[in-house]
Amino acid sequence: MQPFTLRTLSKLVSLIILGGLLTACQDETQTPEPQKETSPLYAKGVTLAVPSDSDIVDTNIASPTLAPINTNTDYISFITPLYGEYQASKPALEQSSQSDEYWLNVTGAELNAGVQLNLSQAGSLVRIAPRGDVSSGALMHAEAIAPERVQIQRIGQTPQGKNTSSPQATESLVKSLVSADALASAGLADDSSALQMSDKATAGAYRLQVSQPLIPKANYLVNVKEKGSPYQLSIKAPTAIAADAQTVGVKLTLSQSNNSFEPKATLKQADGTEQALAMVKQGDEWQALVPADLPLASSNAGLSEIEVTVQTQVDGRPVQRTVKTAFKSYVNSASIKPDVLTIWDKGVPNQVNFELTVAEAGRFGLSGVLTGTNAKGQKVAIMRTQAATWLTPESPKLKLMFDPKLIQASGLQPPFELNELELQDQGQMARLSFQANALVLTR
Amino acid sequence: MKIKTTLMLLGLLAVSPVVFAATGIAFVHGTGKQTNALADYWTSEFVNSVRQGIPVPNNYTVINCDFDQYMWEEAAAGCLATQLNSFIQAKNIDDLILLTHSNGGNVVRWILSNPTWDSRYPAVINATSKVIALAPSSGGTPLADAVNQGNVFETTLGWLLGYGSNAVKQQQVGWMAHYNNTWLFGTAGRPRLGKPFEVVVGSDVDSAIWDSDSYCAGYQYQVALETTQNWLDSCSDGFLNCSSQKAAGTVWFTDKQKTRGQEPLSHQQSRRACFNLDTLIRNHI
Repeated sequence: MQPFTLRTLSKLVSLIILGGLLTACQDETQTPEPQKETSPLYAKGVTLAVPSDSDIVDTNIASPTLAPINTNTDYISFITPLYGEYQASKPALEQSSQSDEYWLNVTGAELNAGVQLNLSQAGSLVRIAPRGDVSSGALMHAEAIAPERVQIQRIGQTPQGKNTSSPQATESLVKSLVSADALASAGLADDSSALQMSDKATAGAYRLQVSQPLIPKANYLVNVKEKGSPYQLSIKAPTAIAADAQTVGVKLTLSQSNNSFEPKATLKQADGTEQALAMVKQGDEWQALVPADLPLASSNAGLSEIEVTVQTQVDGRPVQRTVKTAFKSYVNSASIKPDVLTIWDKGVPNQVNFELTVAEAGRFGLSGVLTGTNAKGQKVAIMRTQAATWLTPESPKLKLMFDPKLIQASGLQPPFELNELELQDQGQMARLSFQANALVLTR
Repeated sequence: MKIKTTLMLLGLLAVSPVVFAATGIAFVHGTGKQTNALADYWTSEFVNSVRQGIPVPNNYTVINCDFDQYMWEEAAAGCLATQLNSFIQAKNIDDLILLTHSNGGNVVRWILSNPTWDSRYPAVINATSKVIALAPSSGGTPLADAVNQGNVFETTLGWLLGYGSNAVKQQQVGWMAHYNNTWLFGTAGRPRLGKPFEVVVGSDVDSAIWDSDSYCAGYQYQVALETTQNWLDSCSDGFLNCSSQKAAGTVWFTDKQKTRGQEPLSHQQSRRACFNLDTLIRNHI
């Protein structure tokens, strides 16, 4: 037997202390049974507020078809203290992006023969990026193109108005060349090379030709970037789209134009698969038509994109633009039941117990912001509370915890409110619902 | 009474690690799979200089994870959380400073914003006192869009071809807008991060052949970064627009406001001992 030393004694004492602390912590996380109002612990059933028009709420649920990306089963609760007057934050339901560039997919044979480029201003940048191909059954990666083997000539006439195909004329249109190695060192690590056009290469149609022998079937991307161009193609679209949507509404605007164009659209999924989408104009919006048997996503990881290309004439100049928008395709896999149970401890809210309707087992998260009221009657933030766990249709309960010490330290008074109540499906990485003002907590 | 006091003191001694908890700093790299980020990403010169700013300079760690993956994946945020927790426990850190560069800021922001995603995250968040984000790609970069543009095959087989990683996909402008709006805190109109997220912004690239400052961190990078500025705003570090770097948290400073000689910090230079950047951070922490 080991001798009883001070070290042993200290370990024993620390174990007793830690044991007491652990017991206390565990007690705090247990859900008490409803008791009489005179007890320090008090449970009260309340109903969530009626959702407003700007809230995201859908009670129709369905089973996801794609594999979940988070299958952790742990219950995790986390509280972040907040201070100061409550600043409401609402999720954006749409996002917009702009483009002053376009890209073309061409083959090695086309590059050797020459492809047409439409430039709308002087000083454009032309990048040529080799791409992969597995159509033969094996991967074929197109070889990089040396920028000095690229010729760009104006179609029809030179900037000086003379017919030409001479190297001298080509040279005068290019300001600088950038090799694949140089671009890779700056983050464009895809074997691409680039040519910066000179100020003499004004708006017009050009022929891009590569003198280096290329594999005829090899794939290349030609990217024309016209920095600062007044011709910007803008797209505005939803940030999340139901997986079974048959149409996706997008708004397209080409600046400096009357928008008389016929856009071509492609659905691009995170794994790289592509599908052409028909576009139909309805009022001031375009509808991308999704074929009935086409899923909007092939995986829960990553996002899907709709890419739109427009080719038109503006003030006699050929203008070509490609723009894209990213979105999350999701299935509404769960919803929050409106009747909830609030637990109070010594006059302050301790937790809210939610019951969900869950289509299929998965990991779901809830979050919200607890606010109190100051002496001036203003809403003041106390804490953000987040919790997530594995739920099944048979066991769909999830509790959001509060920290009573933070509430007491805030000095704030009722009414306490639960704001920004958000339900997430962590398996899909999707926001399922959001309610800006969800619950007034009354004892 | 005397016995009771002794027992209480012994009890406090037994839990003494709490008493001796300390400040620590972790260097969190950007996009890429790192196995020796000290040598390959940060350089010893930078790390050894910066860590002198904390009371015990040996309380530091250099993270090595696979940040070619989506930020939430096990190889990225999971690996980061594991390495940080090991560091926290080994050194009893309760004042953790995270120094991030580029996409490392996104991985850290993922953990800070999503504590319920993984049981390793809360301990990291609780220990963290602040994040110093060097040129974070909070708003993504058009260069990521350019690299990812193409046909099905190169994106599907991106891992084989050596480009088009998921981390690069994630840093496309529209994708980061989605993640910022849905899963990440700290950008305009979104919940604030629970911890300070202080940003150092790189605003330009100098590549004058006669200027010795253009050679810090490698002249060839400066020349290339000037080319990539074609895809970027006039205010950019050659890889990221200033607006992207400023999209989350609060700006600590924009390079020229504090750097020696009011030199700009290109994206390559904002993780190196260029123009007193190391000293500025050392004195700040």
